[in-house]
Amino acid sequence: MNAVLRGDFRSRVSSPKAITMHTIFLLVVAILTYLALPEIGRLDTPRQEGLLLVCVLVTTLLVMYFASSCACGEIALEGEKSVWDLAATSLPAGAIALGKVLSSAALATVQVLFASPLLAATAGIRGESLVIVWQVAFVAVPAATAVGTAGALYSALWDSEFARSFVHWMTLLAIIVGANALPPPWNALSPVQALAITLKEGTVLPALLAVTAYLAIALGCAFAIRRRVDTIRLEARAA
Amino acid sequence: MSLRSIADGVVLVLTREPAGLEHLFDLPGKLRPAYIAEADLPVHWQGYAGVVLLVVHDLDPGMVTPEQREALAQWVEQGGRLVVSGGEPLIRLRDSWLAQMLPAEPRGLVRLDPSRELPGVRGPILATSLSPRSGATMHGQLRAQGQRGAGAVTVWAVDLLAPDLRTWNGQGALWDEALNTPVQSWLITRDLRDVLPASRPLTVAMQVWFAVLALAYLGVVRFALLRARHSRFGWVPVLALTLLFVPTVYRFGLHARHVGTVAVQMSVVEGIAGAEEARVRSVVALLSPYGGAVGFTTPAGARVQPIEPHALTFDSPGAIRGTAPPSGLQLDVLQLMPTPVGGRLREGPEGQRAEITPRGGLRIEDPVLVRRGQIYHLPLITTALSISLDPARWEPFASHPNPQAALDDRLREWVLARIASRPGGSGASAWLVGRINTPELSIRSRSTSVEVHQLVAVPLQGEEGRP
Repeated sequence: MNAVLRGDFRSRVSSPKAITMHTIFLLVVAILTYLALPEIGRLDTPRQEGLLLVCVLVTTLLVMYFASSCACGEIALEGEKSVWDLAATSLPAGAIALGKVLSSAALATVQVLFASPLLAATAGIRGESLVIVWQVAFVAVPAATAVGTAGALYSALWDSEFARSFVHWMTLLAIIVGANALPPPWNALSPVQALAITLKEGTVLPALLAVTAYLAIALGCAFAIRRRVDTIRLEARAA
Repeated sequence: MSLRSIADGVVLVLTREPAGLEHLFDLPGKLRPAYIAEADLPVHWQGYAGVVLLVVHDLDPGMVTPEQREALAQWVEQGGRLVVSGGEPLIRLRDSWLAQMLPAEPRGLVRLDPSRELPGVRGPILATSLSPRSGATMHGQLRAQGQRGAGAVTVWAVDLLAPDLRTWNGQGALWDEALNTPVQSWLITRDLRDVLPASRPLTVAMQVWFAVLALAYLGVVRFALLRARHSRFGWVPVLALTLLFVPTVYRFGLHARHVGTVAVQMSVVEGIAGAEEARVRSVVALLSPYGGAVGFTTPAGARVQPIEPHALTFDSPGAIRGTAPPSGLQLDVLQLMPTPVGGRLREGPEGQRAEITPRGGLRIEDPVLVRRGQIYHLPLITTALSISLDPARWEPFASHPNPQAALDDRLREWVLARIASRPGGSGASAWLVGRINTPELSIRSRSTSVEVHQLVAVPLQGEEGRP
């Protein structure tokens, strides 16, 4: 197993701060699910669809936020090694970059799994199958992996916490809000649209474009992390 | 495509020769004649949906099945307009089942000068001699008219579809009058849907259960995560617990959906003045989270239609299934039943008396008499009731400004308001209204609980036996 993944995963799942983070995440999703319990009866169709979308959208956005915040250091978890720390080890640059991608994907997967019982309640009340969990995971995990890897890259690029946080939030806004403002079909790159289309169509195929874009962003960031690790090491040797 | 979308109404003409109603096209509205034979007559009264007038020209009474006869009679009693053309064909109907429905008895053939009643028609022409029955109104020598239940039956002495009358200029006006023959308007219309509840929140118990389940899950995950720190593969039980909760909570969601899904049925049994039958109008609302599959069985003989256009599968006339849209499904159900209660208002030396006779062990709760915007509370009715009415106990009826919370009260108030708003002279002057519980009128569903609210509203006969 990738050493970076192992270390980051342990830190992101079982460190005291991570447990608080997961508790807050579940509490928010649970409260949202409770508030979105249907007033059984004749709500008009857009409002009914909206209830489900709000639930899965907030879940996805939280997963994306936690993945990127942990990676960029906005949420500093005990035991998690930054790219700077890892560059000082003997681990290959490629393994570090891959580890950061995988640890973001692992955290996103775990959080979607944690939220799945609450999403299952929504699915049950709507009389739908559990496929809804798979649909959310299909969009949320790649999106969170992309912003998580980007967050890891930012931690390697900027020392300033303010700069990292600023760029991190700009990235989230660009993917969620900016992409949503693009003309069709490019607005499907936003997780908001990707989830809305997936839920409406009942299949994950329409979200393939968005998922491919997220994976491309993750791979691009991983490549940049690898280059950055090499640069850090060269600079360290030169010093 | 529904009949209503292609025509405002259909005039059925029972005749051997498919001609004679060409003047219908001159009338306002999209009225279309349909020339039929005896075999084409509907076997259920529901088959007359969209028919605004039935004209009987040539009929062999022996070729009409008992089901067709009953359907025709029931349709007329519910407000249908029947015109029977005279002349030789009418003579053949003497002593038939149809002759019993006519307001005048055909006696024989005579030659009459029709110029006074049919200006422009040269005579003399062959006509049937008509002998009016009790309650019938004679319009000259050529036309007798009478009420049958809520409907109207007109018999003509002359053959309206005879070749020499088809080109007569007055045909258009004649059919226009026939189409506008006054019939009793229904008290209970499809507007009854206004009483249906639009939503029903998840029960408090379900909400509490969800909160408990969610908090339990949160606690278990948090505890497992804290324990996970101390072992290498400690996260495995955390994921196992999560996966265990998924089906549990999903089943809870399905159960909440099942508990929260209910069909609300509002039924009003409306008596037909002068007939032994009552029409039952029911509106049904399926209150279900986000729609979903539905299946209902309606009472025998009922006609069911979705109130908003929606595809449904009829496995049999009474067995319906389909998928309700997320906005909910509303059904309109019509059926006939024997009048469950009879009533009469009598004027006597000691004042006014109400005599109510329930049939078949009917129990009428919270019964009230309604008359000219006033109501009079009666005691519970389980057997025949004869009560002297105290003039001081009549109360003015006024609707509540806000809808009543209890559906029974809302339904009752809606019906009372309908009666109070009826213009004078449009039917009975007094009505009996009360809550009933007749299981035979309820729809049934294996997938959904059905909440039934029933009311009876019957017009009371006056002193002379008429409304």
